[in-house]
Amino acid sequence: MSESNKKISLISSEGEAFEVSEAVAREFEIVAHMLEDGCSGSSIPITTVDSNILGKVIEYCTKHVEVGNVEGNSEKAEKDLEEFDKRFIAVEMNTLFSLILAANYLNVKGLLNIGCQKVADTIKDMKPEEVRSIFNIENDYTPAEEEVVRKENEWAFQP
Amino acid sequence: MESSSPSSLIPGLTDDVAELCLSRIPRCDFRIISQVCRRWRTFLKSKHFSAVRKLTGPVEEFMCVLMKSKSPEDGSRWVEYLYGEVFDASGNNLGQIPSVPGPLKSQFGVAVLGGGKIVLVGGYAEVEGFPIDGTTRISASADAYEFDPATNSWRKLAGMNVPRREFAFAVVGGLLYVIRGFSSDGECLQSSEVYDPETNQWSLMDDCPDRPDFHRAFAFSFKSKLFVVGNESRFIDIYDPRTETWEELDSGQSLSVYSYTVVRNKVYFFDHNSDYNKPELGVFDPEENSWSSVSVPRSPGAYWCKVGEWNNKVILVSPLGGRTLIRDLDKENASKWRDTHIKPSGSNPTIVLINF
Repeated sequence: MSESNKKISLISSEGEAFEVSEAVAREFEIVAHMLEDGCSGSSIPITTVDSNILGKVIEYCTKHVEVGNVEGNSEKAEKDLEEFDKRFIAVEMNTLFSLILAANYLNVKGLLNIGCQKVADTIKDMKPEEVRSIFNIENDYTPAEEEVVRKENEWAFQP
Repeated sequence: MESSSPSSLIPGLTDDVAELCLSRIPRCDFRIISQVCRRWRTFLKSKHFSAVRKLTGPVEEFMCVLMKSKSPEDGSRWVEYLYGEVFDASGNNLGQIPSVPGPLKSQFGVAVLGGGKIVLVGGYAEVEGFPIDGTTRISASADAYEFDPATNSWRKLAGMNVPRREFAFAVVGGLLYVIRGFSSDGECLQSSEVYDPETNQWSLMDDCPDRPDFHRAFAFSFKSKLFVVGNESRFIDIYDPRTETWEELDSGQSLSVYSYTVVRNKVYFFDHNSDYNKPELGVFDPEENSWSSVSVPRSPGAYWCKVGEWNNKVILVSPLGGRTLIRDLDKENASKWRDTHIKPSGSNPTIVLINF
């Protein structure tokens, strides 16, 4: 049995087991490191990620591993993957945050990147008050301070 | 999931990932997002933010237009100063960069080193109240200043060996070459020097060919060589930094260039000799050693326009806030001159591109 066919169980915070191929599990860099460090167990607890989110992260990694294994026609594959990412990340804000936190903890770089980009894309082109309401951020400026900040005309924003 | 404290950048996210999210926002939105709350503004202004953005954020291309403007000093007399205005690839005006330190200069050189730092060298300043006749004299300068967008500030660099104004200049292989020019009293200089940003040092160049009546037309980098073109001269001097040798190319043209830019290895320039009623932009292709021209709409300010590069296109900026036109001249049939909403606020613009 070749190494890549080995199955690994990832255990969510609720104790639910997700059986995945080693190649998919290795997309979680944290798991890849554990395997390299000689962690031989076939089940790995992911205690900070719940089943719903873990399932989604596995879906993301499975798709990326599948596309990575396809030979030839790379342009079409890349386009498909882009489409997949776009659909995958079009979720409501709470889920998006959970995916980002999970991707950060599990060290799934691609997912972390598209998640952070999605947040950035949501923020840009918005008015400050819209940003505050969507992200539940308190406006801690006094009206006078706000007026000063609004008039700032310094593009680089560095000290 | 980890809970976040009320002082977190984005409630619901840990600060390390919130920082990654904010560092991906384009700079044109910084002004808006710094209005969201104090924490965001403080973060955007922090050194830590620059570091995060450098590591993971996008590098954007900006057009910086250096211009002159006047402001009242002590409410009594008007003082002219040199400052920059920054535009992103969509034409958003991102605001101004601080004015250039030192006395106001004219006939200086402006180049971009390391992709993102603007260097302003030489030129002349007016020296007022000359004791004998009270007229204004000019003083050529050896000063060099560098603007770093990461600190949003200018700093003084090592000065040139020779004070000079109205010289030719270009960046080749990361080094800034400054060729000939004029002294304070109008003497035509034959010396040339090169600046190395790594060592912050100027060195005089040996064996630069003599051109006694050299008036700069333009200089540029092509295939890792320095091309120096003078006005009223048909000879182009080409310097190869690898062999440290000069050669001469007969272009068969006599020019009188007052503004130029280089876009995708072609030089676009305005010439004093061009017909006022039929303004056109000259084009030099160094690959073919060939010259051509493109007509420019005749409109108030089209004559004396400054030419620059923006989004891989040629941009024409009127000297006194008239029309601003762009055109992609690489695919001549596909594009026409069209107006843009870019309106620099000052006069006498000089255009450079920086990546930041």
